[in-house]
Amino acid sequence: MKDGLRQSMALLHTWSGLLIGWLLFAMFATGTAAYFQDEITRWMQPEVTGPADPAASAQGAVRFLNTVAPDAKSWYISLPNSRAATTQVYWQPGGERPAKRGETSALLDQSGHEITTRETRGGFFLYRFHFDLHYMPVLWARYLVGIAAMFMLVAILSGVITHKKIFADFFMLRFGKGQRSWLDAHNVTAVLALPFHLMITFTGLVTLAVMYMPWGIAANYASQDTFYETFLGRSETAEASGKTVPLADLGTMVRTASAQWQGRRVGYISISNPNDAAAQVDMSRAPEAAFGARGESVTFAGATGRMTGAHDATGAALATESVMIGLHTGRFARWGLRWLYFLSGIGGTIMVGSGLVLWTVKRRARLPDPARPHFGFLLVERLNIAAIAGLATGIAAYFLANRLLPLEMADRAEREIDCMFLAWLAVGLWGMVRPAARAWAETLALAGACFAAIPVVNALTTGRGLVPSLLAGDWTFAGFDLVMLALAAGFVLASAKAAKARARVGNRRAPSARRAASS
Amino acid sequence: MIHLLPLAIAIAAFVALAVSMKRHQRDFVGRLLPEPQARLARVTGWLLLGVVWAIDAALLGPAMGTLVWIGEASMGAWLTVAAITWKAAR
Repeated sequence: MKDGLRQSMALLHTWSGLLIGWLLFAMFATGTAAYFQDEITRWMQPEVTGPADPAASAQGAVRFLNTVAPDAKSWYISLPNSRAATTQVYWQPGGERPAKRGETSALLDQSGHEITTRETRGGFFLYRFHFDLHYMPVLWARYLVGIAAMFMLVAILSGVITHKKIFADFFMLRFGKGQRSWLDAHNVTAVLALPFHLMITFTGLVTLAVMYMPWGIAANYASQDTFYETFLGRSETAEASGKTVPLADLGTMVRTASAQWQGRRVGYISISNPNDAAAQVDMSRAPEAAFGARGESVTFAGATGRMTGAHDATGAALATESVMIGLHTGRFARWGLRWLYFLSGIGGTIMVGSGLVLWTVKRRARLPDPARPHFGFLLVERLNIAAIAGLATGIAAYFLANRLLPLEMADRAEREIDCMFLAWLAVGLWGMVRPAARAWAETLALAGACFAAIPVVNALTTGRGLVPSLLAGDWTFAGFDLVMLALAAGFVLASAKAAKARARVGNRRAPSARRAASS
Repeated sequence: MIHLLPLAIAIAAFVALAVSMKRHQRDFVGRLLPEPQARLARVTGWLLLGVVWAIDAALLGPAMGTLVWIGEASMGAWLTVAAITWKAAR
């Protein structure tokens, strides 16, 4: 009975893992990068320097909005957190025509000047990609990602049963032993951060739970908006009075709100009917300021700057959701914990990748003729190359494109993203046409070379290369370049190992082929 | 910096746990340990992990402390695995 359970779990683990492994690898890799999304964004905007003060940034944003859209229906200001330097603003124009997104948003520095030097979506794109994907409707992507996360949960639980020796083999990592080594790598990366993997998968599902299971809200509220208004304190906007009254000082309101929350930062501001007597300012607490992602909010009368209301996220269910989203995104994490999150994420990425490789390593030995595997095996092997080496090269290409594309290029931010997918596709095709073992060594070496090129290109195209950054104590830039070098070393090492394994398999195959010929 | 002391204790804890397992005793002590000593190592390992949790919880509160504790324990286990792999390769 016990063996029966283990066998069925092994089957479930193998096939659920394989089916979603490629997507999961991309989600894990880009999601892990997203722990440093603000730092990546800063690296991708080398023209922006220095920290930003929330109150000053809010005042700067108002100065900007007053010049471009003084009669807008509403303004939205996303203030920089403690790791970022830029303010994102959006506005809804006063006219009837719904304007295009690019024309109603801007990225500002602390003093309210638009940043136009280098258009990029920065680390935010990697963050969005890990659940919205790209080149497809967001809704489909989120369902796909949800299915993958659900399977991941199944794969973790069935994996604990399947790999029965993970706790006995807790410390075992043996190199150079073929299948055994892959199994060790898969087990060790899984078990050492098992609480993280369970947490990240489950809370990942929670972040989109309301979308996956809308029925609870649908049964109790007239619409999703009513629900959000009730629970998150988003107040209904009043009609504009038509009487022009300039907005009171936003910097003072930011400081008042912050003082109301024991000094925690303000994250997001929305202003309805700016410069009208009926203007209303809503501020919500920055996600980084506490464990829970959803937090307190306050409302001000825009014309007078007087506080008119305060709202705390209340209720057990909302608090649970808020803390789970907080746990997943780790926005509150300071340096030490952020690195622990990042390293655990890398472990998860290796776990998924080694699991995918393990599928082929295990089956290669059992192939009737290893020189001519059947179609299914070939497909998995090629998709593994595309998913692992391809994505890595793609991310490196994204960073390289940020430095190498002409600054004045139209739709530059989108072109950077295209570069990532073109590189990914190219490596995928390369993996298709080359012999598999050679393709691994070559594509991994390519990924390594691309990562190694990043600090070099950075030093050549900006004044913020590794050496000046280290001398200036600029750890965001130095750290980014050093991580790129570490990734480069990792991929070059993996490529060397793959080349060696190929040589060994070749040697082993030769005598057996001779034996087959003689018998 | 706040992670250094707990991390050091976490490594000690995992080394103790590894020493309590037969297959790692040769690498760490050069011989097989009798069962009472192995059990002592096991109890010490778990106790030290408890100490790490207590330090984190005292410094950061039980909620954040537990989260940080899990991260440090993972890191400590990783470094222990690295040490074992390195020792075994020599």
